[in-house]
Amino acid sequence: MMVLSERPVTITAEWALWGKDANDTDYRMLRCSAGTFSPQDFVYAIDRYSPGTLDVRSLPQVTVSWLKNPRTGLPTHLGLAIHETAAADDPRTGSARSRFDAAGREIVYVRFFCVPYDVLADREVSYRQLYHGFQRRTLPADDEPIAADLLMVPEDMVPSTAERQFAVQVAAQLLTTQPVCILGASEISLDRRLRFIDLVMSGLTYGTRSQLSAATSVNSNFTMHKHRLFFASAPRDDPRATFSDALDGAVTRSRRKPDVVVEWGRVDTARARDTDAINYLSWEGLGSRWAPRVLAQDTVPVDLKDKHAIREMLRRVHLGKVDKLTVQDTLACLGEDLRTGTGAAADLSRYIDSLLSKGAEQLSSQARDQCMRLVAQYDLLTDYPRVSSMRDRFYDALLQLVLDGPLTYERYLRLLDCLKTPMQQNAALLQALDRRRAEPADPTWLLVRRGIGDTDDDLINALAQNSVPATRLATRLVDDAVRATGSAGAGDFNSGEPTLRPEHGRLIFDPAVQYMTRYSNRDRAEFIRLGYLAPALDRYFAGDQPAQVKRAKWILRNVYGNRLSKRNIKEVLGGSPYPPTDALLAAVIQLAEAHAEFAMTEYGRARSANLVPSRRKRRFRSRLQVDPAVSYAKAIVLAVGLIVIVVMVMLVYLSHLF
Amino acid sequence: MPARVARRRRWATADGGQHRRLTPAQPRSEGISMWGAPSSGKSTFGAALGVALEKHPYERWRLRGVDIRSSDALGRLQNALVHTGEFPVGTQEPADYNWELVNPDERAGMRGLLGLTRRDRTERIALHLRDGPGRFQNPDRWLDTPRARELVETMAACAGFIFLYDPVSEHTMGDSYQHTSALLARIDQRLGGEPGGYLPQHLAVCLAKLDDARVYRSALTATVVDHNYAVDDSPFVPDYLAEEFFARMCRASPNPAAQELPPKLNRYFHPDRIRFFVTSAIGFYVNPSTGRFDPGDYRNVIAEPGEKPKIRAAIRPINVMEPVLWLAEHMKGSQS
Repeated sequence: MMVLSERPVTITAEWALWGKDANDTDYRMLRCSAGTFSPQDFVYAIDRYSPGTLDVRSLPQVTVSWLKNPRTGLPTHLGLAIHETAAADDPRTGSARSRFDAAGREIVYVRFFCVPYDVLADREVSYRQLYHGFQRRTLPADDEPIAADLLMVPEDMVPSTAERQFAVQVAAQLLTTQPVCILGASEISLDRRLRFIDLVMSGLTYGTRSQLSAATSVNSNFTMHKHRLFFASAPRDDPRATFSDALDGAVTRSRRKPDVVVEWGRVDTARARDTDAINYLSWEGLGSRWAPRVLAQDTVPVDLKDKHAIREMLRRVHLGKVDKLTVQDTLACLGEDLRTGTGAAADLSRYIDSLLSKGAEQLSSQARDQCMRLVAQYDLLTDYPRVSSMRDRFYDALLQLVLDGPLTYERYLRLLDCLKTPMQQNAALLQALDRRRAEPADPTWLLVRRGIGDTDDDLINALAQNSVPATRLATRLVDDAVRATGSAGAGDFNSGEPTLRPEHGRLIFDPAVQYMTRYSNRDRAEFIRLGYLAPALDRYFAGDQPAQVKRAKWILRNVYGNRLSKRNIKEVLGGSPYPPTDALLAAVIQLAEAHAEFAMTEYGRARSANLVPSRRKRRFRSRLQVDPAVSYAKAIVLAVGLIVIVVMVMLVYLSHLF
Repeated sequence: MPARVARRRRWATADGGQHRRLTPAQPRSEGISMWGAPSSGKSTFGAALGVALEKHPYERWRLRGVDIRSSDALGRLQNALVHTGEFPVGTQEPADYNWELVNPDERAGMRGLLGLTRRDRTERIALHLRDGPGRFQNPDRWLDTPRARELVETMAACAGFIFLYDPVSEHTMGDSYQHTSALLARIDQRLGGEPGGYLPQHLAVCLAKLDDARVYRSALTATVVDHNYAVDDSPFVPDYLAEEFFARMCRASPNPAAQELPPKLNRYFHPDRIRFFVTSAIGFYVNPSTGRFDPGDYRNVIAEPGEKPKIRAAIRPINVMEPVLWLAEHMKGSQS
């Protein structure tokens, strides 16, 4: 029940080991830590809260108790005792402890740990967590206190509604100041018993643990035990052995109050008659998920033997409201109730109101991240039928927590990460998002409107009504596409924002282009500046050539008309700052079939413009890059040729002479 | 006014003020408490009691639990001894058993010659047995703790005691005198000023573990052993020799203080209210094929090193029922 952070809580505990050595015949303190408590203090605590002689086959069992600080005399520590045998197959104990005493009897050891109550109260540590934290903890050979990590204990089984109701009734019985004995739980495991004790105590303020003694099992024949809440196989009191007392009601022979005996799981055996118990049962928070968390925050020590302290606690309990929870706890309660289908509708409404009021306050980024995780964990943005009557408030409260401001594309993406089902399936959520739009020109808003079911015309009209500049969305589409592909962009529009995902760009491409076309008077210069949106088409419709070609054609037709001249082609393919795409070329060719070769030439020229240098540059580069081997060969060939020519000229000359 | 009634009334008003009153359904406060040094066999004695009653060839007494917890404990203890052959675990805290000795009337409800229904003459003796751990009687360590004080209070309210003296444990620990002396002093202080100067309770002194080889050999040496020839030849120490044997075993203790035990007990208890028994909760092993006791093979406990001692065969308690019946009869007599 308790909410602990997922990080382990490290606590330091003083400890004692009670049992026998192989040469002993009776029990004694074997060793203990040195600290606040002396060996005598430990002996007193172990003996006072002993469960009696337990059947070794039922071990381990656990008792919880409390200790007074020897210096101040105030109850400052909680104790947890693990009663166990030194089983031979237990590596922790098998070698170090003897299994049998001098008389050959099996030894029952008690590992006793005590921890400051304040430390536990701050962290709302449950008994189960204490047990699991100490269970595998080996006691040191010296007398140093030990440190143990208390982790969240996984819930292998969530308590049923009936078990919760039973726990509430048992908690009410504890307010009678009589010990409560639970019978008929012999088949219930130690872990479940411990969890039930935690469940009972989570119905009362955490402060009641400060002076509680409880046991997962006691020997009923040990009638002098001091446990206030305990499991047993039979009642310890003989109904005939009670006395009536004018002041305190019934008492037993040993002058303690008789036990309230309840049967495990049977609510009818735990009906309250005490006025304080009935008062407690009238609290609106009972049975709700939020109540334990509110109660866990009340750590004022309460002695369950003291009626005055109980009444004071009840007064505080009745003031307990959902508002006392943190935002994270409220979200967790809401999520759990929705996930499990439990909790009253009134509680759901309380959670939502509390979230609405708390979400308006400034939350730390850490708290907001936790909220986001909880929303994702419980899939709270899914359409829950149980909140149908308060959907608007529900989503407004959640979005207020999660978005931390108006809707932007970045926040929209974070929101999507919290969703396990498509957002389009949740109209109420989309409408809540619609109410949180940042500005009409934001593509996120168009995505939301699209999800609600707006057509292209609806979106264009809405943009027009909000006087959105004609090229704003188209520019965003192109810029995001260029940024996403890593090439240089036309501007630095929203450069800090994440780029539009292809599936989102695809949804708003058509209305954005149509809006630009309609309201920019087919401004050719703007289309040229945006490269006829070819980069956007290339990104958002990647892999879908026909869709790209169809839209490019539509754009070109709106800019140039049904036919393109060579001049138009040159402008389309080489005039914009972005290289033309295949789809753009295909569109051009389809609109100017007669100039297909020209278009292809221009396309090649435009595509290679940045890759193929000019002739002059090429020549210059060739001069710079002369291969020496080639130049020698050329020189030799030239020399040989010259020699041949000279020789031939000389031969001709000589032939004329002679 | 009888002393017992006076004591009961005193308890009823002690510390609780005059407003506290007893309901008519209140059971008798008298019970039997056991004491003895740690591991002297108190729990085993209690566990064997039911079996001893059921196995007795002549007596028809049996033991029943008055309430659920006592009934469950009775079944559990007997089952451990008889079925699984295990000794009870060492007692860590006092255990109270509300038992009742029942001697059934076979002819109850039958019609006589005149057609009248015969009155039920079943005998019932309440037996509130308290088995406390031996450490609470240790004056050095425990007697001042709240739990031990509570134990003294309860024992002081009892009508009878069973004191188990284990010569085996005494030989190694030598702590019987220590446990007995401090406890009796406390009870005496608590009850102080009883008429006659003695403690009002009856005391059954049980020298335990006759089945142990060392004790049995000592008994043979002391020539106090008789044999139950009518049943299975198993040895026992007759009651009239028990006191002598007890004193002899006390003298044999390495702790000289143990010699002071018999006179101390006689100082605290009226001679008519003290009786000695030599007991064994599990008895001797009897060969199942012959059904007779074999002096060469009589150990009924198997104790392997590092293992839990196990009972070898069926238990045959010796003098377990007798002290309880003796106490119960006298308690009944004093109540009537």
